[in-house]
Amino acid sequence: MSAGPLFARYAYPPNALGYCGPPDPMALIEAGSAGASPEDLISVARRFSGAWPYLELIAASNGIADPLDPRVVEAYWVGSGLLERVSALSLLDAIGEHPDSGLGGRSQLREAVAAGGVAHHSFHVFAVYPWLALLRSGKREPAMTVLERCRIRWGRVEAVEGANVTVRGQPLGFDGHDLILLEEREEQACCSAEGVGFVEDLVPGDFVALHWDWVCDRLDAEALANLRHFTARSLHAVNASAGRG
Amino acid sequence: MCMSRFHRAVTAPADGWMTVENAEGRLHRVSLLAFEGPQPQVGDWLVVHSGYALRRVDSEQAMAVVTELRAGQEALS
Repeated sequence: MSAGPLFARYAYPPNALGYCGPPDPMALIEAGSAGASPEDLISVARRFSGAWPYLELIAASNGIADPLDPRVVEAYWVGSGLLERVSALSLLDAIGEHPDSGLGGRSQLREAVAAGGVAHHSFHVFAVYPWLALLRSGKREPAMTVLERCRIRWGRVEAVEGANVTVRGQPLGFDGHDLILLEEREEQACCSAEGVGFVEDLVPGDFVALHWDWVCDRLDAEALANLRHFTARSLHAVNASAGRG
Repeated sequence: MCMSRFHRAVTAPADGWMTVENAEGRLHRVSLLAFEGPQPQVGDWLVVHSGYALRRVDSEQAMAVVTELRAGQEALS
């Protein structure tokens, strides 16, 4: 895993699209830059109302004072053993009430947590977002696209073409009942645009983490294994829940 | 990591899109592709997620949430 402001590199893509966080995406980049104070990044990160409660929870559950500690941030976006120390009850408290939950409601969220749901970004996307319910009700798009682009996905770099890369990864699919991972296919992703970029010197064979249209990070073998593991675990958890249309 | 948010419609729907305003006064163009119910009208409060308007919400409920959100953001800034 690369060093640097992990939170900013994963939070930037949806922030730049206007989906979450403060209005100006450059505020996030500047707060995550080398010269900024930790308080600047905390002030910006708190405004990501979806991610922040999980960061606080993971930190508190592991005796870590700073929710933006790289170990905490990595656990939320990529996954790590820190997630195992978060109790199911405290996770449900952090998730709170979500009338638009993709699983249908509180009891289904409880089922999904009991089935292995953890404080990982993929679980938030699959279980808390409204899109799985829409998918299960027969409205394939845009639900499928949002679920796929918003989860953190992995890919192997096939080619580097200027500021863009071609990566090969497993897209998310839906079999009519369950969310599943499909056969590998290629997609294009952005490494840098308008002076913003998070990963340099990629070469074919590197594994990267993707969020929306962006390459967020280079993944080492352990990080890749964790991202695969916790994504599979979140898929199992939501597929096991009764919240089906 | 995004959450569903309340936005107020500021333009009439056109070709499946409309412009909405969030609690901070920021304007967004959102798709109505996933919208449930009759077409939203100017002034309606809508649940928006990841660039898509999903459903209409009661204006009193929306205002209460938006007021709380604004107060929270002011406290953080």
